[in-house]
Amino acid sequence: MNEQDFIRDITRTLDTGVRDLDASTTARLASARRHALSDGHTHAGSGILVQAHRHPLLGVAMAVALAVAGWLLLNLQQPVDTGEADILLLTDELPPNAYAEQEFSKWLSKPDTCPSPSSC
Amino acid sequence: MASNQEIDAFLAGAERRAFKHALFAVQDHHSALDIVQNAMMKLVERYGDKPAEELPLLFQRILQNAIHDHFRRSRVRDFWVRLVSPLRDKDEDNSETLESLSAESDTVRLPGPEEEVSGWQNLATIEEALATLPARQREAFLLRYWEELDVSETAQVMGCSEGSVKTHCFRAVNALAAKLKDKGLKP
Repeated sequence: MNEQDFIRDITRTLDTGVRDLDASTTARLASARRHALSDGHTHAGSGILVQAHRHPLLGVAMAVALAVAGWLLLNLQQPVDTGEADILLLTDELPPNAYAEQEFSKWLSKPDTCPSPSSC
Repeated sequence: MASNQEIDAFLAGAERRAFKHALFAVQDHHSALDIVQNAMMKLVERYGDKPAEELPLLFQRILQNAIHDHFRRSRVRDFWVRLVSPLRDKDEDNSETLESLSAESDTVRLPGPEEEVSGWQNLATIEEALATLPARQREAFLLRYWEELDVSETAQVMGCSEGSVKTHCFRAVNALAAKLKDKGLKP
């Protein structure tokens, strides 16, 4: 018998061993497969983070998109803040010192602001 | 991307051989089942988005890695057991050594005279001969000839050169022929 026949005989015999596996083992294997398929897909899922993990370029794109979104959010928030301050001013919910005009007080306190009473 | 049905069909066709691969390597039924289950889970989790035609090679690689991981964990466990063993009672230690020696001798047990050997159909004899091969030779033989991977694919799965695969296969075939001849099976 040459080497190829020898190998073929061995692999055929091994195949019969696979076919004749006992029922409990084949049931365990089938159960393991079902478990892997259900659990694996549950864990893996198709969430965006999972996809980003699988595709690095998508992850980078997501990071850039998040950065742009954050910048836009910060810039768009400034007018809203001003509007809120106006509303608080109109509804008298600002503290008294918010009305104090510091520049005017400073100007008044300067001695050479009015050179003569008639010119003021 | 492989569909759920394609992965299921592939695994259904591969799981029994995978179990045998693991069993030949670790010589323990439950560990072999655990290894196959872990390999299946890793395939689905990490490579479920790959095309169906890539699954066989990927699965073989995952399976071989799972087998290697099993041995790595065993070595670590054995290391800690040996480290802690001087703290144990001497009698207990001796009995455990005898038990472990007995278990070891069971795993590499050659067929006794009462076991029938009848030509090439004697599966147990061939499986035992395979189990006593060095791990890399057995791995190469099974991947190359049983799984029918080509030399390049086998090298890829085993993480070695094509030359090493050829050497392992050559040695495995010769060793198997010698072992089977010793047991009364003539090629």
